[in-house]
Amino acid sequence: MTLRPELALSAVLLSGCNATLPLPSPAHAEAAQKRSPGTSVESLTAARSTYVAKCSGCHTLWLPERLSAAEWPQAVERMQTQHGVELTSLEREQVLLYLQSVRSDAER
Amino acid sequence: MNRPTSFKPLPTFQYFATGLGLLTAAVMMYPATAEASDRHFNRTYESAVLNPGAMELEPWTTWRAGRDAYFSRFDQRLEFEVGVVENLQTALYWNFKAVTADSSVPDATGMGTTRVRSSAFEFSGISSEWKYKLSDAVADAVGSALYGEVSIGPAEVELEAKVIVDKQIGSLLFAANPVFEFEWGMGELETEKEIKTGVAAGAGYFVKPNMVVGVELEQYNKLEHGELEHSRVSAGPSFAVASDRYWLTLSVLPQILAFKGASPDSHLDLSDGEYVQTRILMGFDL
Repeated sequence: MTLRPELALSAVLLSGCNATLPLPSPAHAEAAQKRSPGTSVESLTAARSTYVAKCSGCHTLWLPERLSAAEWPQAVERMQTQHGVELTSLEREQVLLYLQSVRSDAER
Repeated sequence: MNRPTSFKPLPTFQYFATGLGLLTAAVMMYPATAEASDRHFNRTYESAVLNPGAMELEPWTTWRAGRDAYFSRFDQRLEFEVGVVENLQTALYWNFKAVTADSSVPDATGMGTTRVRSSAFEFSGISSEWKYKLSDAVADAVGSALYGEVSIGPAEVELEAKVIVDKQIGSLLFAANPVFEFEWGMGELETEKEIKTGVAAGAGYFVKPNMVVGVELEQYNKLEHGELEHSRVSAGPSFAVASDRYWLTLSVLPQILAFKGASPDSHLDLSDGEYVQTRILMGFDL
C-alpha cells in the first residue's frame, strides 16, 4: 500500500485546523459573560495579546485545549510564583477568562 | 617516525544509530515533570525571543570531524542572551576553537611531501546577535523573525543574516532559515572575501510537552571570487529536552551529498566540509 501525497498533505492540513491560538468571537464573549459579565470580544482580544506577550518569551505557547478549564489557574499561578511572570490581578483574570472561553469544549 | 592515521569514517547509518541511541537513552532518563523550552532544534532557529529583561546563558559545543586527511575541530561558544524590549533580543558571544589536522609539508629531501599533524587552540572572536520577532509560531498563521549577527576576530570579520520562519501544528513543529553570510578573512597578503549562503530546516515531533525529536537539514554554499566553490547538504537527527530552568539540544549531522567541490572518488566534499558535525547546545535561565 502506498501513501498518496495528496492524502498525506490533507492530513497535515487538517491536523493544523486547530493549530493557531484562537481569535475571540462573539460566541466566545457570550460564553465568557456567564463567568464575567461585561466581557467583550475586544477585552478577550486584549487578553489574548497579553497571553502572547507574557508567555511566548519563555516557551512555545500552549493552546487552550492543552489544559482543562480547571487546570489553567494552577498553571498560571505556577508560572507567576516559580518563573516570575509578571501579571496584574486583572491581567491574570482576563488571560484565564480568554483561555477558558476559547477552548473548543467551552460552554457556549 | 609514526605515520599518522587518517580519519576512518563510520557509515552514515552508524552515525544515525549512535545519535538515536543517545537520544533514546536521554529520553529514558529524563524526568517527565520538566517543562518549557525556547529552542526545539539545534541548528535551526525559531522565532521566539526572550521577554524584556529575561537572561540566558548558552554554552555551545560543536565537533566537526573527518576530511580528506585527519581533521577534528571543536568550536566552543559562550552566549549571553537578553531580552531588550518586547519582540527584540540581543546576545553576545565569546568564540573559541581547537583544531587538530593533518597537512602536507615538504619532506627532508625537498623532493616530496610528508604529512604533519598539528593542533591549535585560539580565541576566534566575539559576536553580537540581534533578533526581532515579527509573528508567533502558535498565535499567528506562521511565526517569523529577522536575525542579524556580526562577528569580529583576530583573523576575520563576518556578517550573517537569517530569515526565520516556523510553525507548530499540533505536536508537529517546522522551522526554516534561509541564511546569508559575508566574510572577510585577514590573509597575510590580501583580504579574502567569501560569501556563504544556505538553508537550515528542521521538522520535529513533541514526544512530550518538554521533549522534541526531529530531523534537521543544512544546505551550504560557499562562493569565492564570485564562483561557487563548495555546495553540500548535511542531515541527521536532532533532540531537544527542557526543564523549568534549563534546556538542551543535540544534533548529529553527517554530510549526505556534495553538489560542488566533491573530493576525488567521493560524493562528499571533504576538503572544505567534514564527514560529520555534532552539536550540543544548552541554555540556562539566569
